[in-house]
Amino acid sequence: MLYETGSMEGGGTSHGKFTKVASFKEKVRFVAIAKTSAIVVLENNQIFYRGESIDHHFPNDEWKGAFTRLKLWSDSADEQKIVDITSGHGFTLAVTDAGNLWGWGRRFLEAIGQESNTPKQLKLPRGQLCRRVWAATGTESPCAFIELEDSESGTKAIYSAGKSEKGLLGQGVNVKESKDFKKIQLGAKDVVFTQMSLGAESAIAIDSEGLLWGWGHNDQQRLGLADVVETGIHRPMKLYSLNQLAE
Amino acid sequence: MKAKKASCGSVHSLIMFENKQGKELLYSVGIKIGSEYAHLGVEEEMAEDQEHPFREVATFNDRNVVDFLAHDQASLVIIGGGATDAENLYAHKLPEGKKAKGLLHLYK
Repeated sequence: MLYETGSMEGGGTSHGKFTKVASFKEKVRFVAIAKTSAIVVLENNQIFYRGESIDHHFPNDEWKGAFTRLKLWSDSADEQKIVDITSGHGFTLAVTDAGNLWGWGRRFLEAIGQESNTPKQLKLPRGQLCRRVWAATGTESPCAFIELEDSESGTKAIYSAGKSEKGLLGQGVNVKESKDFKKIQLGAKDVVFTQMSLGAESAIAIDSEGLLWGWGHNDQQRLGLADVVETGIHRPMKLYSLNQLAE
Repeated sequence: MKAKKASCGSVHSLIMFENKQGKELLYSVGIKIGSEYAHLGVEEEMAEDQEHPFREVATFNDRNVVDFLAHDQASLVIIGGGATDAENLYAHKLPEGKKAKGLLHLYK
């Protein structure tokens, strides 16, 4: 069952308590919420959306006040199970069990040079399967991260693409734009991120030792660093002040 | 302690640590913005300490935190254990030092 509260620009609820969303008969598998949109994936793999359409996030660039079906595959024989989904500001990305990545919302698709006003399967580096996805939620950074698995070796790594002035791409000094999905620059070998979260302009990851890494914007000291770098942190660094708690 | 889970919001972060005894501790990261600090889950004095921009959210010290989310100047925490586990969730100290329950208090 799905419950909702709050208000949503462009249509939606505006009340102060949680109410049940009665539209769905099936169990809900995933929910992806962004500033102006909500996406729901049901157990039967059906996708529903509602909210404001920013730059062709939704079909015909129309806002929807009620949950409305979105079809990625015109032929049901082509359908693949969705195993992960995320929404940023004006875009959504979904991963299928076959390792494909689908995207919709021109704001992000344009940032990676794969413009479209409708959902499309996105190009990935050759020989790589997509397993997980994260989208930045800020209005300034159309940016996303994916976990790719090498189809031959099974090795996994984190890649990013899109735009960010504050280093959220994590691809090194002064990289503010990346049309292709490229590996993030860790500056250390054999580091495996077991968990990761993207905010509006910042990211935090946890490695297999339980240590914290961060990059992007540290304004309001949201990465726990006492010194704020105005230009942002352009590659993942160990969050030494927070990691001191581990000692 | 080891970090177990992190969540990045628009202006702050939440991190769950586990200490050597296996106890989980929820920390908020970030500082007060203007007059806004409620999203950090701590008292104002702690929220404006720029030398220590992170601290434990003591409200959840003895609770079973199932999941949490740092959002757009808001934090959400799911507590397991049923209704009794949420008792005294809003217990807090009033300006005159008394302890109180509930969310709303009016003052002259």
